[in-house]
Amino acid sequence: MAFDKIHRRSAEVYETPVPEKNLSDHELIAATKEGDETAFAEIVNRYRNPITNYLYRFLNDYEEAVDLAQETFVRVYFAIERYHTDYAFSTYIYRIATNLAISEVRKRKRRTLMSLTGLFQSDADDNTEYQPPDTRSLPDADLIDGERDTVIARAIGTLPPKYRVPIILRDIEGRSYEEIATIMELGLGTTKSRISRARGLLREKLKHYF
Amino acid sequence: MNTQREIETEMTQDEREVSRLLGELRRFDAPANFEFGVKARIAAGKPATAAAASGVWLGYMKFVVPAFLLAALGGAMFFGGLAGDADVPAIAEQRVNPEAVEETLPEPVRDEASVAAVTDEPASAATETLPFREGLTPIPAFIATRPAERVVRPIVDTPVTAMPESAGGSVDRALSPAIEVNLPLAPVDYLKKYGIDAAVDGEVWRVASVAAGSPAAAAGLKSGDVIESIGGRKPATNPTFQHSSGPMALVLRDEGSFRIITID
Repeated sequence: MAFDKIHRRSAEVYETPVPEKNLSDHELIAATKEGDETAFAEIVNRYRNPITNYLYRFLNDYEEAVDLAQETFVRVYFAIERYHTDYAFSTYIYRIATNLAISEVRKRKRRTLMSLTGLFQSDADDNTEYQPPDTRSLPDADLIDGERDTVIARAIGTLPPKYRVPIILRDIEGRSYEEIATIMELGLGTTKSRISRARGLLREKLKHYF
Repeated sequence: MNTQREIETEMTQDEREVSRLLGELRRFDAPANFEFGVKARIAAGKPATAAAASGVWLGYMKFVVPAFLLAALGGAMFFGGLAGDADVPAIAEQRVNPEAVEETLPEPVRDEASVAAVTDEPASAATETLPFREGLTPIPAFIATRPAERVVRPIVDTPVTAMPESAGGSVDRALSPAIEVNLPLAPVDYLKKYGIDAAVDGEVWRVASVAAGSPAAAAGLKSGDVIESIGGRKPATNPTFQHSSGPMALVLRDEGSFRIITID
């Protein structure tokens, strides 16, 4: 049984003193710089679910997502001195998570190069755009929901990272276009068109679910 | 936000449907032990992938260093063989050019001081020449006596455990103070450095025994304990570790609860 999936609420989540809850992200960072461990715990508490979900949707692998999400917070912790309040903390942490996720995907690609399938498909990410849509017939109604999620998750996973990042941030995480543009270090126009293109690609792949 | 609303109205029907579909997806929350994992990694002292990055570099070194030494050994044997062969003096004369020989030698061997340190011979030995036949270019002793062997030993034989200083310290370490290659370790080998004998058991490591008097024993680890993660890494991720004789953070599973121990 995967130990990660035991949902045990630890008492300290509720016992965090009220003041921390009321502080802004920037105030928490400032407190963490001063050496306040509870302030950092509150940052983790605030962002662990969105970051885990974001990475899960990006990688389609829960264990890997939790691993990278933890790594994201470790990076934040060790780079806290270098953090500046130029933009929102959420932008900063999503950017770290995105960079980790993209390098993880590259690592996987390198690994698959050694496999036999790698011989026939040199660049998995770029080819997937031309993947034919899923033409299988619809399953029984009661199976649809569970399977639909799996199929959508898989379809997202086939998008190249440059489309996968913005569409997950927009449609799953609900971040604003402006924030996504900052996270990806792109212009607002480019970001919008990538999201639109990503939706179009998914629409093609998921034809049978509309 | 104004721009936001503008954009949303620009969306086609198709896009809107995709957007809705994605918005309805089930959310996956962080596991309950998430914060423990973060703390354990922070306790371990550095971001895990930074260590992994240096691990990749050292991984390449594993191949590069032996290949280099092998080439050096081959070169030394080739020239040594020619020099010793009495039947082909002409070729030997032609080939054994001290400058060419020097070019094929690895840096540490040419450095007389380090040769002396490794072999524990007086430095003057390195400059002696062997009694070759007249007419042949003399080869310095440190080339002709297969220098690669001397370099191989300290790198390949990196001691697994150094003897405590009270027992005189490790002989290997004393002889090769400058050459210390810290190769990435499999979790089981890494745990051994702390006196823990453990093996992978499904998704965890299970402790078979703990060396008496070791730091792990001092930290209260005992046989039968279940190690959930080492420095935040789990067996499933096939982690490797860099032994730096610093503290190591373990997350132990104990009947559904978890505790973190740090071993110095």
